[in-house]
Amino acid sequence: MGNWDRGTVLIWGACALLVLGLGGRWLLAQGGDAGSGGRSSSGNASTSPRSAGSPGSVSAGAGEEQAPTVIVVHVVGAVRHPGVFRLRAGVRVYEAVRAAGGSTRGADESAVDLAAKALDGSQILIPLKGQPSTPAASGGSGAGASGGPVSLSSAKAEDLDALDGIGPALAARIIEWRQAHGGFKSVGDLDQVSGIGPAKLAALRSHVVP
Amino acid sequence: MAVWLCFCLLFVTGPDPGVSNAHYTQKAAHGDSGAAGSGLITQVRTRAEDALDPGLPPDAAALLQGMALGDASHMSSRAKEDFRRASLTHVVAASGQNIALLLALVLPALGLLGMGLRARLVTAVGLVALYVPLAGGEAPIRRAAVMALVGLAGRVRGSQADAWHALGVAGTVTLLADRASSASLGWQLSFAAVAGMLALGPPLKNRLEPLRIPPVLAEAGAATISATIATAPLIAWKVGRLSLVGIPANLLAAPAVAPAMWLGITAAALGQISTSLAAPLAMLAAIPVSSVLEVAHAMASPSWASVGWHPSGSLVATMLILTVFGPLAIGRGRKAA
Repeated sequence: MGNWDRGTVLIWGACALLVLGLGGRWLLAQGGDAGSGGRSSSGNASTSPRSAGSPGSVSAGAGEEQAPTVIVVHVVGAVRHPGVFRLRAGVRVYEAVRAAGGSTRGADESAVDLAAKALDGSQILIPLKGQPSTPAASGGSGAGASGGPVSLSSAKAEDLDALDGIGPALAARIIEWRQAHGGFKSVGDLDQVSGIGPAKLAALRSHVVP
Repeated sequence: MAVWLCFCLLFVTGPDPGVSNAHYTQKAAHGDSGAAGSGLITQVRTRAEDALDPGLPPDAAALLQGMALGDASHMSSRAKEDFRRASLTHVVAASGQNIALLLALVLPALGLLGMGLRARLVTAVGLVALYVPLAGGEAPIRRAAVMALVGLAGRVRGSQADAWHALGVAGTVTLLADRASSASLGWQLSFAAVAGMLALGPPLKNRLEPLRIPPVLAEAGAATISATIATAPLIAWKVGRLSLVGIPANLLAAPAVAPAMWLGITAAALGQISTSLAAPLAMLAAIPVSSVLEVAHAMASPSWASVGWHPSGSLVATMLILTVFGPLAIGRGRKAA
C-alpha cells in the first residue's frame, strides 16, 4: 500500500476498464439479443422454414413467417416465482423455469422435457412429485404432432386437430363436450363425444391423456 | 520431507477400493437429495443460490453461482463449452482459488473490525470449514482447505509455513481421508496447478518485475501463467484437447475473477439474512461475471482455440516433472553460481 505512483494507478485503472468494457460488451449482447438473436437465427434458418411449412402454422397467419425475437411463456406449478415471462426466442424450457426462479424442492422435473424449445404463447407446468402432470401444454402450432400425449383437459382445438383421425370439426366438438361437462375425467369419456366410436377411441388412447 | 515420503507412498499405492466405495455410496446418498450434505447445508446453499440470482441473464447468474459456490451445473452447455475451449473451467470449480480469495477477503475485513491476528486466523479457519461443504466438498477444495489450514496454523504459531510443505500435508491428508482422490482429475489438476505456481511463479514474477508492473499484478499474472502451463498437459491427457488460448484467456479474465468471487461470496453470505439485501451486490457482480463470460466467448470462438492432442502418460509425467523441478534446479544453479 502507500506508494500509489502514477504508473500503478494507471495499470489498476486499465484493469478496471478492461473488466467494465468486457462485461458491458457481454451484457449489451444479452440485452440486445433482439439484434444478435436475429443474426444467429438466420444461421438456424433451416429450422424455421420447416415449421412455417407445417400444417399447424396455417392458422398463425401469413405475417408470422419471421420468427419472433421475444417469446412469452407462462411458467406455473412447482417453481419459485410462477408467472408470465418474456424471454429471448429460442430459449429452452429449463431456461424458462430458471426465469421463474427455478423449480422448488418437490418439483418433478423429469415430468417435463427441460431440453425442449420453449414455444411462444405456451404454458410450462412443472408438477410436484406424485402429482399427475398435465403434459407441458407446449401449445402453439402443430406441437401436438411432435410432442407427447395431448391433454384433453387443457389442449386447444389446434392441438386436437393435429392428432390423427381428428379434424377441426371433431376437435371443436371435443372442446364443446369439455366445457359442457367440466372436463374429462378419463380418456374413456371421449366416446360420449359424438363422432368418436370405440374404434377411434382405441386409436386415440395412446395419444391423449385426460 | 517425511510428509512427502508419506504422500508418495499413499499416491503410489493408489486408491483403496474399500475406502473409495464407502465414499461413493455416501456421496450418492447425499447427492440424490439435491445438494451435498445435511439439511442445514442444503438450506444455506439454497438461500445462497437465490441470493445470487436477482434476475441476471441466465448465463451470468449461473456463472456467478459457479464462481461463488463451485457449482457449474446451472451453466448452459454452450457456456461450458466456451470455458472448456478457453481453458477457464477452473473458474467455476470449487478450488484453491476460492479459498485463497475467501481468505484474502475475510482476513483484512476482520482486521478492520478490530480483531487481533489470532482471533482473525481462528475465525478464518471456521469460515473455511463452513465454506468447504457449502462448495460441494469435492477433492480439489478439500486439498485447498487443508493447505490453507496448514498455512493459517503456521501463522497462529507465528512461523511462516513453507508452501511446499503445506502442499505435501494437503496431499497426504486428502489421500488419507479418501484414497480415491488421486484418481479424480480435479484433485490432480488442483495439485498440479499449485505445484506449478510454486515452482514457476517466482522466476516468472522476477521476469515481470523490470516491466514496472505492480507487485500484486505481477504475482497474479505469474500465478495464472504458471498454473495454466502446469495443468495443460494433464488436461490434454484426460480430455485429449489442448487449449491454445489458455494463457491470454486466463490473463484477461483474471482481473474480473477476484471481484466477481468476492461480490458473489458476500452476496451469498448476506443472502442468508435477506435476498433483497444481497441483490445489489449480486447485480454489481454481474459486471465482472459478464466480463469473464465475454472473455470465454471471444477466446473460444476461433476454430484453432482448442486443438486435439493425445500425449502419452509418460510424456505428461515428464512435462510435469520438468515444470516443477526445472525452475527449482535452475534457481539452485543460479544461487550456487
